[in-house]
Amino acid sequence: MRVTYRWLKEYATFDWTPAQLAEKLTLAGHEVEALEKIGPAYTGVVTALIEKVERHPDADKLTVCLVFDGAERYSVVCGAPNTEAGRIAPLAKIGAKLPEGKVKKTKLRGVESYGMLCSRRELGYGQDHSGLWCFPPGTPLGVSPADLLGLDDHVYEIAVTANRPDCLCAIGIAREVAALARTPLRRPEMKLEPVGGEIDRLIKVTILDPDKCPRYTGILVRGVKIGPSPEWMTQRLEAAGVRAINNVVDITNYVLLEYSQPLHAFDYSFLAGHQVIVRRAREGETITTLDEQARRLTTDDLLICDAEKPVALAGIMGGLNSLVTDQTTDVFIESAYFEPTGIRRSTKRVGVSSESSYRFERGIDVEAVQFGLHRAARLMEEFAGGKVTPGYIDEYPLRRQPVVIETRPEKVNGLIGINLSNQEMADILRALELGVTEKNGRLLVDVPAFRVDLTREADITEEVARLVGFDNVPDTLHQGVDAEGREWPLRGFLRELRRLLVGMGLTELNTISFVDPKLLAAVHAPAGLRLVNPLSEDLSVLRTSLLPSLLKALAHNRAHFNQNIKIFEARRVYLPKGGSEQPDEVHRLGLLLAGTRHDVSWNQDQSEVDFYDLKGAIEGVLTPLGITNVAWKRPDDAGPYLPGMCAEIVAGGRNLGRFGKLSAEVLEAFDIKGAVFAGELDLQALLEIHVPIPTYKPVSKFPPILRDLALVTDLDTPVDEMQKAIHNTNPRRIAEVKLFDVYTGKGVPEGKKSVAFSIQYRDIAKSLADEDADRMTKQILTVLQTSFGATLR
Amino acid sequence: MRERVAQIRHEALTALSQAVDLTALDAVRVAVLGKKGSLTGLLRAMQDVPPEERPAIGALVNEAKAQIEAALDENKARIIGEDRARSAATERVDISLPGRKPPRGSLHPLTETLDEIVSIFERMGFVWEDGPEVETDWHNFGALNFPPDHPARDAQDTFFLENGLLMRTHTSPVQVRVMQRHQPPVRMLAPGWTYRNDAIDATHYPMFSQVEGLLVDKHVTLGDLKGVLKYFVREFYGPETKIRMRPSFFPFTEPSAELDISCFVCHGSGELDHAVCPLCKGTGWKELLGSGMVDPAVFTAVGYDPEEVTGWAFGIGIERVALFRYKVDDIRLFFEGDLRFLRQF
Repeated sequence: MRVTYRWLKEYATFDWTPAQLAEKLTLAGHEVEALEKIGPAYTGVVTALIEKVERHPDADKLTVCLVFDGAERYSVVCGAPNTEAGRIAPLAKIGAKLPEGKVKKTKLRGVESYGMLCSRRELGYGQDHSGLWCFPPGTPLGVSPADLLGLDDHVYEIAVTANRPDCLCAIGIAREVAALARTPLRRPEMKLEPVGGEIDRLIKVTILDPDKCPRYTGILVRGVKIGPSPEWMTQRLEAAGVRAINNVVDITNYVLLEYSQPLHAFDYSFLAGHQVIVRRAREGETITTLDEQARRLTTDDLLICDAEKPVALAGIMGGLNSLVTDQTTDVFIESAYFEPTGIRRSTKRVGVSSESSYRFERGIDVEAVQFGLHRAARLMEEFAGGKVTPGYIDEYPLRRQPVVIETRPEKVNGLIGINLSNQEMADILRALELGVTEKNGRLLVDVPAFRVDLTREADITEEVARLVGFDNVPDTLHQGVDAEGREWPLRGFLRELRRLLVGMGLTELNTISFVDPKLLAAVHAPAGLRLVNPLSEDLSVLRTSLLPSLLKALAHNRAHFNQNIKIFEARRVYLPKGGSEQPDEVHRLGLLLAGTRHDVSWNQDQSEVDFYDLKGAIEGVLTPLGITNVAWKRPDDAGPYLPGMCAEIVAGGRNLGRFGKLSAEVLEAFDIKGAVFAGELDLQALLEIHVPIPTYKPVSKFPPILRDLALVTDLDTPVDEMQKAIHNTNPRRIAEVKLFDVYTGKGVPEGKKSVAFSIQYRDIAKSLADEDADRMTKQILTVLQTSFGATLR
Repeated sequence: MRERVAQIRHEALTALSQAVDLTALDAVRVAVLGKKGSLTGLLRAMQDVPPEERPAIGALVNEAKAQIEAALDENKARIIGEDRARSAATERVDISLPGRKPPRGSLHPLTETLDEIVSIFERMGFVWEDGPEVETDWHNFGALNFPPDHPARDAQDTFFLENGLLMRTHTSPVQVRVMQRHQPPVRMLAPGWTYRNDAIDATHYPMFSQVEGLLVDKHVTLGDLKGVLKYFVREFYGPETKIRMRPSFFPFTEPSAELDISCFVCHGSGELDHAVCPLCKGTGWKELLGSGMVDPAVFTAVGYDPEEVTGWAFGIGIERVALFRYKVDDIRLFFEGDLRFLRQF
């Protein structure tokens, strides 16, 4: 909503500067988003009386004028044709700044000129340069034309909240200003016609659907002459952001901005049968609105029709067929109240909205419909040469029921944290034009029709708080604890997990939850839920896997020459459950490694990351979380990974996820080259099996004995199981089993591998002897031989 | 005997003076002064010495021992000195070379910002609660006092799903779910991701994160809301930051308020270098969050009695906070996954 300072001054009395007013409005809940100065493009110009005009001795077209600005007299040489003694015109004194430059003392053909008399164009008001801009006799002298005409002003751009349609107009904002200043509001004065009378013979209005149109008023203005609007109105419309068109259209727009009452002006001669019928559209009925669009309607849309045809889409837009044109002489003005939700449904369905529908769907003042109507009619009499036909039509089949809110002052004070007396509270409410009577210690608040937002005690509380000022409410701290609340279990878990990964050199991503369904399919993920209104196809589905997002991030980084990528994202995926059920929102950890292990450095090797870097990162998460007893399995279905380079993680009876090297066709879908290792872990499962608090195992004070064993076994013998088997031969005395070499090639038979373990024997209670170590080693060799066919190399 | 002492002393002193490292030095010490050392052996052989000579010989041995021990210390210092000198001459690292880098990743800036905000409220006893991102119309709108066909829904630009559900447009549905399953008093936070159908540009992204706070108890006031928010602002932005609360409108709170903080670029003056402050556009204030007293309709919807309890709620947009915190000028950077950006945090 845009409104000017001077405009507000017309209705409200206050002595705040434009900036102070902006702050008052903002702190009362009408946020001023911008405050712009509109003003003259000049300084040093005042009104002056031309006292005497003489011909220039040396030039036919010039005159020498003696002008008086109320204080001093100046001799000015002027070239305008309309210099005449007694006229009042703008004088730019020496030193004045005009749009086209500074005024200096000059000599024109030998005669000195102490200033310059100006045309409108020379002051930046339009294009008129036919002569001096003359003001009516009696105009005060020595006043800036801008001040005189109220042309310099400040425009407020106010963010009106959705609950306050009453503030979508100048009078509405002024009402708030008056309440803040505790001064009365001045409404425009005008004479109302009686209901009915002569107009009833000229037009008949029938409301067939009072639910959708509870009130309809109309008035007839005959003999109008279409032309330009007065200067002040044009200025205000422009300040409000509305383009001036002609006097009749401008007046309807002006009243909209003044009263928030949408009006529609019909050319009376186009209304067939001189009838207005308000009815629902028929299924499939069409109307061509004034934007020349044919609109197809349903029975839920409301039409204004004449005896033959629809002439307007009620409350939204007029029809092309009944528009006011340059030839229009008789104007029928409609001022109605349409039911808000119906208008809203229509604008949504038809896909068109307007300043009118914006207000109707929020709710206008049903009790003030006739004022907007008369305001427009009187303005048309004044500025369009029309004559109001006596009487007006007021069909009001569904009257508004009074809204009275019983308000308990102690509840109001209690919710805000203040302590106003009943009298103080009532004064505040009355300042807002609410009716207040006191009864048994309670306030009965009679809500006027323009305050559609006030229905309950809580709403009255807000009015009191607003006018008291939130800044004047004392700050307090409420003591207490949450009775049942427990931290979301993943909260601390996710924090620890992220820190672990960052410590291992991975960087956290947050990417959007929407993906391209083709990319989900490309990573073998299940289909996701579809959005009805996606921004684009590549953001049209809820992700069921984090892999596409990680791969997109990889591609983005590669495109920007970031080569070595170690990233993770800990977020949810959305697994559909079918029908209208909410999906399972499962937290996952997605990991991706590509490029070299280390950045280019003089002392670190530049080898590429491999499967074991990713496995190491996963182990680096699992181990600190106390998930140590993990089985790594070759999955039956490798999904997006290469079958030979993929593992499934199983622990605590749960499948924790899958990882591996991505296959070429997956990378192809993302246009990525080179090896990429990625995986996804189920964080809920991890959370459930993790051991948050480790149990201490005693450490031995006695020295260890170390033995290394190199063994030859089949290529596909699982080394982790060998390791476990070694440990299990004597868990009490085998403190550590470390794998320190894996070898195939020369010296090892085809189809075999050599694996070497370093075993540390240690007892908690005594020093072990070499013979103990020998005996345990022998036992290990027997077990490895029988279980894995492994022999000492 | 005397000759034997003299010989041992001579040999030991010679060996010590010739020792090139600390190991050799120690070998001499063991050979002479150790348990089985030659000088120790002499002391043990003292019973063979005639008694009248014993004091003199004993003194002689002790003197030799003292000399050898002094020589040991002396040579130890010599060898350490020589080592240092040799090292200085031959062993030089290039201290200008970078060290071997331990791995280092980065936490996402939104994670860091969220964590700091949350931890301030956690100090005041607020508990992190979670809820779904895919929501029902009732939890996202209905229970929060958005009537059907109401213009207030327009501002929410909702993403709808084909199965009739929607992407939550704010974290407020978590309030509803928590209140439905748990009786007052409630002191909760609901951080999380939210979605609005906004075209992507430097200041808009269809996904963003919020922290929601809710306090419900007997006799909770608007003043309590101000008190907590003031505490938060002081902790997060520093004690010199001022706050301003102004009325606003949200369907689920009544009264509703927006909280502004004094502009952290111009410190509330509205001016920077004699020009209008580019951040606050001269107002001296920056909008931080929306808040208000829980609307009685919300309490009714979740089965609380609005006559019995009152409460307040607020919601902070994390991206806005993070944009200013790190002076980032394009919201898209948070979500593109560009490591040149992310590695800066």
